[in-house]
Formats: sequence, structure tokens, C-alpha cells
Amino acid sequence: MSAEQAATAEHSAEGGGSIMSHILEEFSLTNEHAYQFFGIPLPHGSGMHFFGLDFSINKAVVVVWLATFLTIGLVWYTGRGGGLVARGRLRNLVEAIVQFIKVDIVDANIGAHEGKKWLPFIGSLFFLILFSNLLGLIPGSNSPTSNINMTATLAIIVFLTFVGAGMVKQGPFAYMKNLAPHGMPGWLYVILYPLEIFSQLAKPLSLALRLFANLLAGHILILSLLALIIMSGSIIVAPIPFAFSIIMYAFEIFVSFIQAYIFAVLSAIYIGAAIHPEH
Amino acid sequence: MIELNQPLIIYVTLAFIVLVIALAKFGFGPIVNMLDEREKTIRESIEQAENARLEAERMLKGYEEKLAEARAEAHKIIAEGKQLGENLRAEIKTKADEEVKLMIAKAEDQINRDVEQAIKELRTEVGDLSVTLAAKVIEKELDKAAHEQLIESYLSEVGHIS
Repeated sequence: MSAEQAATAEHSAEGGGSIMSHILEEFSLTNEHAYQFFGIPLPHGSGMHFFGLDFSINKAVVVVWLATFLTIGLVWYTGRGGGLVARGRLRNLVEAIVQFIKVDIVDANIGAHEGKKWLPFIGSLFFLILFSNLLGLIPGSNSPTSNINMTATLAIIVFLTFVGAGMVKQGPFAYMKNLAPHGMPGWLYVILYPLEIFSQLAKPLSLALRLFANLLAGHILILSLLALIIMSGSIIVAPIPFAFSIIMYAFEIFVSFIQAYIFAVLSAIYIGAAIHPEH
Repeated sequence: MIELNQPLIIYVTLAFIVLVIALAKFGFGPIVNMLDEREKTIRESIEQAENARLEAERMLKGYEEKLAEARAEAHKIIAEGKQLGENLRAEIKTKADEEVKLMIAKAEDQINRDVEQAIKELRTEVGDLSVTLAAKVIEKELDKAAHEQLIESYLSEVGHIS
């Protein structure tokens, strides 16, 4: 670690650009300290290659699994509450969130009839993103949702799901036909079909980029504010970026909820649109 | 950050599949069922309470009606009793008055008769006394019947005077 600090000091002596590149390296999962989580070494390297795939565990993976088990544990704990009278603040909180996902996200956009089937899917998206966001805010942890790999994976899962659901519901050809609005002059479809296909492809792209960029920007902003303290090296200047970084941290908690909500609600809208074509 | 990271992609996919299956199997089902059940129970409880309230109101109305009826009945009974008492009183009074009058009349009668009797007795006594006196005075035995006639006339005179 002393070598790291020395490197940091050296970078700061060189100038702001080096500090930023060093900070951005902290987000990278390719360097060596991606493979330890709060000092615990994680299995990686050639020993973790199976079926030609890299199963190395880095700290983002740890956070993703923590979020997964946290979700399962909370939901399981709430479901085992028993009785119709709510008991405990935690149960009430989880119940309120589940109720919110069910009524305001799933039922509102997919429909109450189909909604029951889609609740686990949308709920998983919401909770996985929410807890990944929140766990990523713990200092020393890693934020997997500020990594394009996770957001793109989830976005592609959503894309495959809504295209698949639409094709199952309407039939593959009807689904393709219903992409473009009906009743237009024939020549217009030459323009409309490519446009609609692009818009379908833009959906997962926007999902992935929105979540990734929002989370990454928040973290970079906090780290940049803290880098200002290092760059100035002055105890008089230090409190100002520090105060701003605390405000940004609070805002990041808010953003964590908002982005989880947006991802879930957009997924629900896309699925709803795929299984209920406009006539 | 933006470079490809194979492990993260693999594990996110796996985690997501695990999460969806876990939540579908034993996660959201119980919570949603419980929420629906709770909603149903609360709605039913409210309906029951509403029914109970209506029932209670209906019963209260019934009781109030009955109470009013009973009160009217009581008023009627009291009025009847009063009337009856009044009638009885008047009757008794009339009877008593009559009786008193009768008794007074009887008493008066008795008195009159007694007086008459007394007068009669007195008269006889006085007659006898007078006869005796007269016989003693005139020393002469007179015909008793003639004397009685005499005495009668005399006494009637005396009676008038007295």
C-alpha cells in the first residue's frame, strides 16, 4: 500500500490529469486489487477458468452476490412474517416496496392480469440494482452498476425477455408486423421498419447507458471532490470539497433508488408494449 | 469500467437467474398473497363493522319506538287509573253522603219517635198522676173512661201551653 500511496503522491505532483486517471483505475476490474474485498483475497486467475470462460471472482461480483442474497433474505424474511397484521419496521418497509413494485410498476404497465407472472422478473431487477447501487456506496466496496458489463448484461436480458415475450404472445411474425403502426401508406414502411428496429435496439442501449453513466458520474464526482483536497494540499480549502462530497453522497443514495426505479419501470413498459400491441 | 469483464457478465447473469427463480418460487408469492389477504380482511372487517352499525341503529330505532309505545301506554294507564280513582272517589263520596243523610234522617226519626214516646209516656204519667191527684183532691171515684176523656182534653191544653 505504501507503494500505492507513493504512486498517488507522485501523480499528484504531476498534475490533475494523472490523478483522474488514477481514480478511474480504481473503478477498473482489471488490475490486481480488483481481486480483494476489504482485504479478503478472492479466487482468480487461470484456476478459475472453466469451459473456456473466466469465472474469477472480483469485488464487483462479490457485491452482486451480496445484493442477490440480501434480496432473497429480506423477501424470504418478510414472506415468513405470518399473520395479516404487519409486524416490524423492516417487514413493513419490504412490504411497502413490494406493493409499490406490484401496483405502480408492474400492474400499471403490464396489466394486473399478466402482472402476477412478471412480478418476480421486475422485482428482481429492482432489488438487484437497488442493492448493488447501495452496497456500491459503502467506502472500500465496489459499485457493479457503475460498470457497463453489469448494466449491459441486465439490459440485454430485458431486451431478450421483452422480444421473446412479444413473440410468444403474438407469434413471431405478428410481433414483427406490429412493430410499425398500421394504416400508413405502403412506401412509408420502407422508412418505418428500419426506424422501429433501431428504436427496439435503442431500448437496451439506453437502459444500460443510463444506469451505468448515472452511477459512474456520481462516483467520479465524489472522488473528484476528494481529489481536489489532495491537489490543493491545504487544510483551509479541504472542508469545502469535503462538505460537497457529503452532499453528493446523500444525493447518490437518492440516485440509487431513482435509477433502480427507472430501470424497473422502463423494463415493465417495454414488456407491456411487447405483449399488448397497439392496434 | 467500460472494458469487457467476462466474470461480471457471467455472475450477473447467474445471480439474476437465481434471484428470479428464488423470488418466483418462495419470495413474492407469500408477500403478495398476504397483502391481498390483508386487503380482503380489512375490507370485510369494515363491511362487517358497517353492517353491525346499521343493525345496531335499526335495533336502537326499534327500542326507541318500543320505549315511546311503552311510555304512551304508561301515560294511558295512569290517565285511566286517575279517571277510575276520580270516579271511585265521586261514587264513594255520593254514597257516603247518601248514607250520612240516611243516618241523619234515621237518627232524626229515632229522636222524634223517642220524643213522641217520651211525651206519650209523660202524658200517661201525668194523666195518671192527675187522676190520682184529682181523686185525692175531690175524694171521689169517677168513671175511669169519663175521666180519661177529661184528662185528654186537659192535657192537650197543657201540651199546647208547654
